[in-house]
Amino acid sequence: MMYDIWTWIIFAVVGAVSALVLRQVNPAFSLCIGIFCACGILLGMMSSVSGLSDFLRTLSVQAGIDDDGFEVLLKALGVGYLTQFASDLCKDAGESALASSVETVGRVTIVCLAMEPASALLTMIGEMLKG
Amino acid sequence: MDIDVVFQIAGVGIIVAILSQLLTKSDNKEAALMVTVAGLIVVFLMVVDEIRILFDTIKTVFRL
Repeated sequence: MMYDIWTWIIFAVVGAVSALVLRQVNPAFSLCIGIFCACGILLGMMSSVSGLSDFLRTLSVQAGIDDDGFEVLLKALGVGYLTQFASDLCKDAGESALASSVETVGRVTIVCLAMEPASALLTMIGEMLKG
Repeated sequence: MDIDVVFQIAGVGIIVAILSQLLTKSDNKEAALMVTVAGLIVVFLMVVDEIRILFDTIKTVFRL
């Protein structure tokens, strides 16, 4: 399901206006509209991103880069999208403490993901220094 | 994924607000609170389904 950019612009604006109208009546419902619209727009983006990531995978195979490092890169991208989504929603709900802790969790997760390639790199450097 | 759901959520919100206003005016604050909570649960069910779809898609796209 692939829409063009105008669909998502209209989606975002309609969602924003509905949330604004509903905020005076019931703020929790306006937050729900925000969550729903954010989910929808990210879902629409994902069809493009999956094509892009397939293309990048093919490129990395053709360039002979080892697959593990590239997978870590894509996973870090996914973790980044997820944590930004969650922290923005928390900020919308007025919980900036939750938002910053979610961001911290995302950073730590990305560092943990990157630990394996980093240790491989350090081992390689150590072997080069020895030999 | 449809824009109709946004209007559905907005409609549920407005109906819940009107009902809770009516119930508050007729001195029935507990019932007003219950109506608000029930409306929130209905809306959350719609939103949670969407979040599940988004997370599944992200899982498959980024192979998390």
